[in-house]
Amino acid sequence: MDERDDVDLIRAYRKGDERSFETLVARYVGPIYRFAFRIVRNARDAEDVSQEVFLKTWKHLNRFDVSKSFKAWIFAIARNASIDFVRKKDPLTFTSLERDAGDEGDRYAFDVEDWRPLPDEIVARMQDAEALDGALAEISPNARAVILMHDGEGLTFQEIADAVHEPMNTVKSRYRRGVESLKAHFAGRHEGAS
Amino acid sequence: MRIYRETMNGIPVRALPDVGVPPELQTKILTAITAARIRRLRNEFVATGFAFGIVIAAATASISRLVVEIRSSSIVGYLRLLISDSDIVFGNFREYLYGILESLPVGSIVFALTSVLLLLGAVAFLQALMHARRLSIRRGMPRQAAA
Repeated sequence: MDERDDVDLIRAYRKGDERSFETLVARYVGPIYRFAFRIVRNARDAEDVSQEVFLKTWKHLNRFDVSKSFKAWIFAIARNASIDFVRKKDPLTFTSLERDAGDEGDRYAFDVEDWRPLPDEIVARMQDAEALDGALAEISPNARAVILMHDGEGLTFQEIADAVHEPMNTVKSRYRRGVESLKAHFAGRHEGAS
Repeated sequence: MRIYRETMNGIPVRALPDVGVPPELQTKILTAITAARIRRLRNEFVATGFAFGIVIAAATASISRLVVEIRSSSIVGYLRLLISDSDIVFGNFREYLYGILESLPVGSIVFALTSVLLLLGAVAFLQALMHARRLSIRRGMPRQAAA
């Protein structure tokens, strides 16, 4: 496996080494597919979205600013492609989920800290993980994308905001709202169980 | 951390049920990129070919015009004078040189030179495209696909 970091690979690609791009594809194909899958919720569609993401990345790679995070950039492309896909495929559901999510006000933004996920060792109950997966499917694609980028991929709110060209407070707000929705989902689940 | 304990039952997003990545996906992506690359090269090839045709036509016309203008100008007479009466030429070299410079069809020369330079540039670009296309076609299926 090529040990060079993303920026070195991009620089090599720009100098004519097309194999470097193949290395980038190999490095990100899994994370991008999983991310797309969790937004579009279908294997076939996730494949199509992943393919589109890498084609767009290839087309615009020469314009990428190497002082920024490539990971944030490619996940922003994936987020846009996935959300566009959901919007086109199921506009009614998409609109209702976004409406439920409320407007893009910043009322949640200021008390959001940069939480890090707990260590994997504490996770023992796969049933809960599956429930979380199900709950994620119920929240708006925009909020889901932010949660997956932040908690799943370890991107900071600032990196996400830069990559998707949105104010950081909007990103934090979406995150917070998504988490509140998950909280409501789990609360309902526990009430149902008791 | 609090948020996971309170809202997600302590389940980090990283621990979501694994989604198996289709093994052929990487190959599909690289094949699609190779196809897009070849398509882009083909378009550039056609555009350059078209430009090449225009430049050849312009170069031919400008050179023909240059030849006609040189033949009809007094420059030929000056050159004949250099052969027949070189002593007179060297005796009045400055006047002779000015005469030649004045008789030069400067506009046509500039036009002809520009079109020849453009022609050379188009040839070089076409060669580079053909080289890139050969590489893309030779590679065909990406490395991962062959493995």
